[in-house]
Amino acid sequence: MVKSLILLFLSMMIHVNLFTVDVKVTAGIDDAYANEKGIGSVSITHNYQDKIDLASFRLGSNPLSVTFVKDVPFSSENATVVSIYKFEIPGQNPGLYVLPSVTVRVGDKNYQSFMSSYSVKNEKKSNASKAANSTPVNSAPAPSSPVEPSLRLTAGIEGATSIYPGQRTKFVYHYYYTGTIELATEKLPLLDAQGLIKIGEKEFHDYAEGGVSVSEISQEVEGIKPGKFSFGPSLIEGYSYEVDASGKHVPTSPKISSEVPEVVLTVLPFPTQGKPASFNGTIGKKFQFSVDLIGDKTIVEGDMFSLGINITGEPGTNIKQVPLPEVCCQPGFSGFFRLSDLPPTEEIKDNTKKAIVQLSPLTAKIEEIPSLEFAYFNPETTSYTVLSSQPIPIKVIPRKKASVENPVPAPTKEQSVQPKSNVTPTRTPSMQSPQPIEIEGIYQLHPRDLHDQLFGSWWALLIFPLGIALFIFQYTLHQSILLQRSRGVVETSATLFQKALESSDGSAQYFRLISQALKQSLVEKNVIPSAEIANSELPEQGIAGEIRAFLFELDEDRFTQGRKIDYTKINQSVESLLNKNYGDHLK
Amino acid sequence: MKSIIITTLTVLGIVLLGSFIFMIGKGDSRLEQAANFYQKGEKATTIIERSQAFNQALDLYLQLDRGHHPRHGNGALYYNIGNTYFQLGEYPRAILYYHRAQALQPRNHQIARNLDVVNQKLELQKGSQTNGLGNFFVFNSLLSIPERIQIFFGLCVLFFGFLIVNTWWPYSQLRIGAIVCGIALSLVSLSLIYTYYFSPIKAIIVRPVEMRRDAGLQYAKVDGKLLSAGMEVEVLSTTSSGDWLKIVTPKGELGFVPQSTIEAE
Repeated sequence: MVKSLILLFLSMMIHVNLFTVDVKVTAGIDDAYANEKGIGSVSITHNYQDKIDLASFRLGSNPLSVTFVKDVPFSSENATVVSIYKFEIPGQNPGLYVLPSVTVRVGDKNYQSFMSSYSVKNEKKSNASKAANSTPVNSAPAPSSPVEPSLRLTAGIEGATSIYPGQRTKFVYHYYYTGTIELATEKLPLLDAQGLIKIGEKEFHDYAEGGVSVSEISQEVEGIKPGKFSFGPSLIEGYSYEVDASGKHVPTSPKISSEVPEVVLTVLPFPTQGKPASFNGTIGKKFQFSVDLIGDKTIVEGDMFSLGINITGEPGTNIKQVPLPEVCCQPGFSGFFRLSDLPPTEEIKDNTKKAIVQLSPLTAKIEEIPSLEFAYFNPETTSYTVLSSQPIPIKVIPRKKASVENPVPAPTKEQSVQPKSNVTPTRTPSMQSPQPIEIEGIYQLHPRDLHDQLFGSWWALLIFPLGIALFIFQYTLHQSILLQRSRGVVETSATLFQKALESSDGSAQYFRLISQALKQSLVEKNVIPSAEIANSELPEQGIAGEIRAFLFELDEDRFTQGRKIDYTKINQSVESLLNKNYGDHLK
Repeated sequence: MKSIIITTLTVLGIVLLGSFIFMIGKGDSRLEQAANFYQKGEKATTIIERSQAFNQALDLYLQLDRGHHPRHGNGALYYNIGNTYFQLGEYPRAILYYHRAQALQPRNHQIARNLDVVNQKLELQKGSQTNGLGNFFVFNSLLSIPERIQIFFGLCVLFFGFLIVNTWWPYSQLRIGAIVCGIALSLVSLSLIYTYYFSPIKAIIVRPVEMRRDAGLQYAKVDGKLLSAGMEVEVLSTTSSGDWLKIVTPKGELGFVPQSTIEAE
């Protein structure tokens, strides 16, 4: 009986496992010889009910013509089959090549194989020559034959090419090379994963594949926000080298480079249809969710108590990144419980995240901690699942009796929203007496409190350059006054003329004083800047011109022999010139 | 000509000074409304009443802050905003505004007491004190920036006043006065230059956030712990886009946080 039960259980497990097998697509080139068509095969592991669209086959971005070979069932009792298809590739020169990924639609989704490498060998020898030489075609090269250096790069996504925020996939680079290669350039944008979260460090894996060395570099990434993220093109460059006697690398080949086109990863937005209100971005296949009360079930109103929230994911789930349900916004919590301002403490153990949230009941009427909801999105089924915890009965002891002086107004519609729990308060918590005020009083503000302080903003610093300017101005003014004082008292034209009249007629001093008086009068009338000027430099127009002509005439009379000078007339002329108005010289 | 210039300048000065006094003296009805709402919140007998009243007061105070932006004022508005946030249980923002008020009223013990209360509520350590060159300017912790600018202004007036008077009437007392003022002016100038260019930029974490090793969510977390809201940190630099800030915590941990989770004091 027990045995039969175990067998039944095992068969059910196998059945379930086989039904949940992922669709897998693998592609490769079986044989390829120089200048001959190569034969490749595509194997698709899928449920036999999922239809394979023959027209959907693509090699890279080009349509691929395939021929159905056969379906290989796993067993007669399950629905999983491996469908095998053949295809051809055109003839190529001998060397190492990359087979782009093969994309095919199975059911209502597209799947793609991982890129792989293949080598095109030298021409297949004819049966006759084979017989004559009796040498195997694919024999290994003689040890003495040199290895042709080669370097190829492939880039791709190992896993889903379309993910949801929070879901992970893996970027992979493969370096295929022969000989000893030293890399000179590596542009590998997939490893930077801009716009995505990098999970862990890069992983390196080296192995050999059909005489070709392969280095694999992979980086796991996680989607953050929806969008199309393209990375590339990627490029590597290097050269073959030998080590000389001094240990230096001596290049033995020209630079070899390999470039692959950009790789595109799509981060899909979460479907809006059926999205629960409690969904906050958790993604995964399956979770378990529970809530427990830590401590006594009797709580004093307003006192903090701890609630343990446990979320368990399947192995491989990034449980650390799973966000906690937002307790504050869950039905039955808002208005009845107050959440601590401190962030919840979190602990990760195996695949379980245990968080402790502190909150306090706001009313003694609460009888239970309401059920908490935790929602997650399953990317495989593209559906949401909501898990609910069990309500936890508690007893809240009132801290003090509410003392309301005024009659309680009827609660508004918004205030009268009842919690989901069995709480049946006669008054909503918002109508309860609040806690005493801890910090009392504010400043009675005046309009001046709304402005910057007088001379208290950075503009006030302008006083410094203004002060310098004012000081320089004052200093210059002071200096100029001092200079003016040092020149002594300046005689006026009238005093000079008076001195001329007092001196004896015809003397040299008389003529000098007459000349000075006339020139000083021009200075006083702002016609010339200084009286220290030669007669010939006087302007020829206006009053200055008249004085100039008079002075020349006076000199002529003075120095011409035998000419009689009428000093009375001269004095009258000088007086007339001195008394002429300022504007006369303009006439 | 000279008399025309002097008259014009005098009239202009009177007009500007009059406008300034008018602006300062102009009342704002929101001040009274906000104070009334705050008092109503203090006297409220139910949680909902209190919450509504304090929220209305906060809304008005924040409007006044946005409208006037008194970053060189006397800090009274920031103190009131801090108190209002405190009453609403928004402790991180209360800390932010208490710090802003304290920067403008460094000798106010009430602000320091409130800050202690709110720090205790969030179980936060006291922020790090000024270090390095900041210790040289001992008066920086006693005088706010506006006060130091006012002192600078007053010293400038005295310094240049002494110099100008000494130019006309040279006395040794005036020269000594100018030298003393010059030395004090140099110290205050250096203090202001240090504050403006070299003093650390302090900020408050307003939402709990995980610190990253580089500017982006794809980078590893530092220590894996959340930075508590209300924590005072020092901002070292920003990314070119301004979305991430490089900060150092009071414990000396370096890392990056999103700009939206932090506000400068």
